[in-house]
Amino acid sequence: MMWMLRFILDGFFYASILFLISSGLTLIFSVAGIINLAHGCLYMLGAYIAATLIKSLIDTPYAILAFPVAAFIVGLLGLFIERFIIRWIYGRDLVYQLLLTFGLALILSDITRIVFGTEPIYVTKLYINTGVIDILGSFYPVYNFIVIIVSLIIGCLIWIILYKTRIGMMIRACALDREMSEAIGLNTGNVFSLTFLMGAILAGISGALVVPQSAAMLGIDADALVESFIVIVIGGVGSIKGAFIGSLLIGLIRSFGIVFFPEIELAIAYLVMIVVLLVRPRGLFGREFRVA
Amino acid sequence: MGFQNTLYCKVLVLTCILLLLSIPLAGSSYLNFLACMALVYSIWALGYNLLLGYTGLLSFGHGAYFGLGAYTVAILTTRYSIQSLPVVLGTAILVSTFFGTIIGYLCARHVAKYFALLTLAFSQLFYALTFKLYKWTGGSDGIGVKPLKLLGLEFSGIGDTVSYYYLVLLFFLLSLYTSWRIVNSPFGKALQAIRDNPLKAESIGIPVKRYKWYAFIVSTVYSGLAGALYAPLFGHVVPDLFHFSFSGEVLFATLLGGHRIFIGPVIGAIVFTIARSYITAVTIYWPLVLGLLLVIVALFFPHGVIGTLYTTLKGRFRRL
Repeated sequence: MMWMLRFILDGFFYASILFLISSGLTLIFSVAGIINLAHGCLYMLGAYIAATLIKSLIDTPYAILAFPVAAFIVGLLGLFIERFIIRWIYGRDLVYQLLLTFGLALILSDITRIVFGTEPIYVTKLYINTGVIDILGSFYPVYNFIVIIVSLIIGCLIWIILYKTRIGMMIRACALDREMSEAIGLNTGNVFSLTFLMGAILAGISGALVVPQSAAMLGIDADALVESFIVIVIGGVGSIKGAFIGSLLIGLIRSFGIVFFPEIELAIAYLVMIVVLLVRPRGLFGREFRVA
Repeated sequence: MGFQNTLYCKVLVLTCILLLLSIPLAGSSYLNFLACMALVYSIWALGYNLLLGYTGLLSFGHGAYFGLGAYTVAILTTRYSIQSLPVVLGTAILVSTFFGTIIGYLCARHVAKYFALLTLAFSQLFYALTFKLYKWTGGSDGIGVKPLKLLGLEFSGIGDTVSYYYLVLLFFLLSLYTSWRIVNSPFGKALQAIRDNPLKAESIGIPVKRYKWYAFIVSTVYSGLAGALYAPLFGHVVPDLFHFSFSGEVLFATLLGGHRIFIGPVIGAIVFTIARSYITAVTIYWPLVLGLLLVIVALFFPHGVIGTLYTTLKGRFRRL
């Protein structure tokens, strides 16, 4: 049973990262109605910024600052993109919205390539330095525990912001009915900006958190984007609870899949998605949303 | 509708066909290659537009069916040494249509945004699988493609580009004709009704979901054919064909020409191919340039490039 525990913990680790990315994506999708194809690039950018900072600060205690700084920079970038670019196409045809975010994704990933180069950046030293912990006779990296705990805290924060504050109420109102919210005097533009800021921060922090365990490299943007799509489809669009359950499922499939069926690990995730699509087309926790 | 039967139109079509037939006369193999590329993209975009322009479904995963066609050709010719043209092309189209049928069934039940998201996710599955099944697909290196053979002739973009060009041209004209027939058939009209108002279409008895599915299948036939013709042209296929950014290219090409015009995707594909060959010759930042172009088109051309130019010019002329 001991070896099982290890895989379950690994699954929780993947799930934590995935949850942070996909909750941001699903928030933007349900509130602003935009499929943000550049979301994966924000994640990748977070990873690169954190990797560069950690690499130069590795021997000082300030290395820990890399995480909030990466999240902050990426968050600002997300806010900037919403304010100056995405803002103009809210009411427009889906074709142009997707074309725009796709264009942004290409620009961001190419800029990342130009700025940081094509070589992956490894900062495994931080991962090793945090040491291992003895659980029931087998050793497990402390870093993974930290990530799981941090993402649980962030998840709780999201829940509190969305369901216990006035701002959260505004965000949920916008997600339900934009026109009605506007009619009762809500500044929906600000709510959308806030949503993008939150989404981008989440993408940035998840990218930063994954870096010490793996690496910052090109191409992780598309993987992250598609995996969070699968999570959203399984959990249901606009549902944070759905994103949580979905990422837990995909995370566990991944950690067990890598060991037992490495060649078709991803195909299993898709299979789960297909089953959910056939049985519950709106996802496990998805609302019936309007036709359009 | 009278326009199509006028003498003017017939002359125009005939001139275009003659022009296309005479391209190899220039004697430049690079021009032939470029023309082949443009026509392959045109076939792809024509099929894609049956979905986007005529059914109103935005797919972000048609690279998958293009790639399936291309990979089928590559695997058959290289791994199994089957080079007979009808067999290889037929199998390629069958394979991509087979997957198109399954994935189309899963996706066609969903509307707009969800549809785009699902098609993207499924295309990315094939992208990941090409790396995992490297024994077959060659992983990130891709695999080479041997020429196709028919009646003792060899068809590939590497050797004799003239014969390959005429092969592609034949399939292009065939695709153009069939998609014209589809668009003007009762089925095509039903698709346009679905695009304009799905609820109304449902209420007058059109099986909306089933027809969307059929439209998806038909478009994957074109994608498979285009992919199958692409493989021998380049002589090499890589996993990037399955990547969603490749699917984005066909969307952009279609919008460039205008998705509400029948011939629009063809014009877009030709312009796109020429533009790309020039831009990649001067800069290595092609994705950056493409991204900027996409953002500009999305922000400043609300009715597509051709549509916006048309309305602007019309306004100009009226003022004159």
